[in-house]
Amino acid sequence: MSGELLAFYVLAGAAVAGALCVVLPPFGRNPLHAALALLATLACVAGVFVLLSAHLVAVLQVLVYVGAVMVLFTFVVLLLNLRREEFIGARVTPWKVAAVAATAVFAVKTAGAVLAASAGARAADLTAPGLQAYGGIRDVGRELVTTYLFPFELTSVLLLVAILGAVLIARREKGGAA
Amino acid sequence: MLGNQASLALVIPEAILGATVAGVMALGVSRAARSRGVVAASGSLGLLAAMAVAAWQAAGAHGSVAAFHGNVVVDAMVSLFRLVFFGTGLLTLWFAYASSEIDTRDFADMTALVCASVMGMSFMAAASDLLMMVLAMEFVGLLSYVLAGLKREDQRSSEAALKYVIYGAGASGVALFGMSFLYGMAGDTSIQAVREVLLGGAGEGTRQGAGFAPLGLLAVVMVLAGLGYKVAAVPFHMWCPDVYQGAPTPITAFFSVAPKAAGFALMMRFLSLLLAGVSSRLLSDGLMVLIGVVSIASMTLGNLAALNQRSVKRLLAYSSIAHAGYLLMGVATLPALMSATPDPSGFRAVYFYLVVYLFMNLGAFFVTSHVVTRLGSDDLGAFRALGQRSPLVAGVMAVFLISLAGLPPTAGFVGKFYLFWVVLKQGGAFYYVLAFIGVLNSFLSLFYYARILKVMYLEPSADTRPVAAGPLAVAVLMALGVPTLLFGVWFSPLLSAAGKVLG
Repeated sequence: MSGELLAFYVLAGAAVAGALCVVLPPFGRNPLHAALALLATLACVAGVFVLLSAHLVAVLQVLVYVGAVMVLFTFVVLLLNLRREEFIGARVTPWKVAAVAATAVFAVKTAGAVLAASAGARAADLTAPGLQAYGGIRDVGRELVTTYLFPFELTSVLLLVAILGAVLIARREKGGAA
Repeated sequence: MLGNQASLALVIPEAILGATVAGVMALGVSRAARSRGVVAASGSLGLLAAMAVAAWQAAGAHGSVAAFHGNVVVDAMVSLFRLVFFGTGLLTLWFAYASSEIDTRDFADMTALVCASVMGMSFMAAASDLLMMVLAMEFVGLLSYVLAGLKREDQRSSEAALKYVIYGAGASGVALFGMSFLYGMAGDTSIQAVREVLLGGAGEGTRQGAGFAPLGLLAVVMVLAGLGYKVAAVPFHMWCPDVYQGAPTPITAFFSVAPKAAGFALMMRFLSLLLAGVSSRLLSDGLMVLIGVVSIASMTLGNLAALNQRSVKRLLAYSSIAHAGYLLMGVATLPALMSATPDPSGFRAVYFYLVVYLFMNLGAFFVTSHVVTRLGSDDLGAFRALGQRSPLVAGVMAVFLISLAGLPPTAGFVGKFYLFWVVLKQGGAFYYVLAFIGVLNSFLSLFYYARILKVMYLEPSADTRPVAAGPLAVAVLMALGVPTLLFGVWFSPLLSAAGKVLG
């Protein structure tokens, strides 16, 4: 087993374990602990991006998700002052058992389909000429303002109208209690 | 494939809408926002201009053009769907103008959001890249959440918005998960590239298309689950009645037509780009059965649940779930598209029915909005004796309801007839069963549509004062009612327009 594959299994395993901790007790009972478990997952996914040579995406993952989004989550959890009791829904019901069983079947089917599709797949050779800078700021940036300029610009329009929507939702009537 | 600058001329309608959004937002912070008329007029102007350009482009369209480096594809189908979206936006604006449910303070912002939302929808119809699909879907979704929660002081409206957000996030997550598999198969976000992998031609040299079929099926099913949420098909319909009831009535009217049409547009675009000519038994049989079963579940459950509703908004919400089921019958003809000689007639029937549905469903909602504004309730009781109190409104409502039930001589009959005919034409036991259940459901739906008719005409009301309808209301009723009747007898223009879809 190569070092890269080992690193992948460690990171991927930790990411899945962290994701399970978000929803399962004992971590999942406490919103703040769940948020911290999510932090671990997001950090491990950043590591997987590094293994994929997606350096810029890895850095952005750390900056945006591990940094900004997690701060926001923690902030909201603290602000709402959620208590443990409000968060418990751990009774076992027939529906939940059925859901877990369906998820298990789905997972097995997915794994089988992925294995079938990836049979005979070859790894891309990133040492080939023209691919050395793959995943770096320069390559991603160039794609962003050429091939993907249109979605990029549409995103800016989306952000503009999203701000309008946020203002609209947050606006209070003058003197009203609402 | 056109580059960025060369593609600009193809998105003029959307550019006009973008300018309208900016203009209305500017109006919103000025003194002019105190007058609903100024805002409604400028919004209508923008939408009408965009519709005019779209109609002109639809008339002159020949073939499809991959624009913006293959991120979007512009063809007659995009232009035709633009007319549906922009027209719905325009009518929504007029509904909102006439409705008491939208505060004047919010009117400019609502106008901007509706214009931006229909702009996003036309990109849903045009998306030919997975990235673009997600972006357009989220664009429309995000704005819908805000629109649902427009009545901030009303707890039901806030609850509707929150439910919409949470269901939407889940559905988008599932769709994105599916798309990540498609991306993994091709190493490219272009839907065309994924299709080539499924065809077995391209990809990583030695790999064969057959190995990809199971994963392809799984991924497409997951994407369809996300789109099923958009069109409110069973089992992704849970949000629908609550959101429709909680949102202001003009916005509910908008939700019942525009995002549904956009969901079907994206579904048709995605499936036709990905699967045209892909001859895989697993994919074609699997998707046919799956979409067919979802279709049967949607129409049966929607119609059964609608039978016992007292709130007309909720009743129409369940009816819209049932209509999503009828429309999915057309999508279930997918195997015809995947054969060696692709036949998109099922998708054309879907477009035809969507246009008809626009008129009749918006009409039913407009009358409901009118009753809510005048009488303060959308309960079935508020409709009592409407036949005597406002003969015109009740008469036009009767036309919309008869059309929704699919009876002649209305457009709803022609739309359903076309849809059933296309399904039967496919042959095979599965399609016969599908069409048979569709017909049974049409009879079932008669009960609750007829119940509204009965309340309007046969039940006496304590309050016998006439319910006034202003000139704007009459104009809108005519704009919706006349096509509902006219397309029932003179449908060839609509038929030839639908023939251009995926032509």
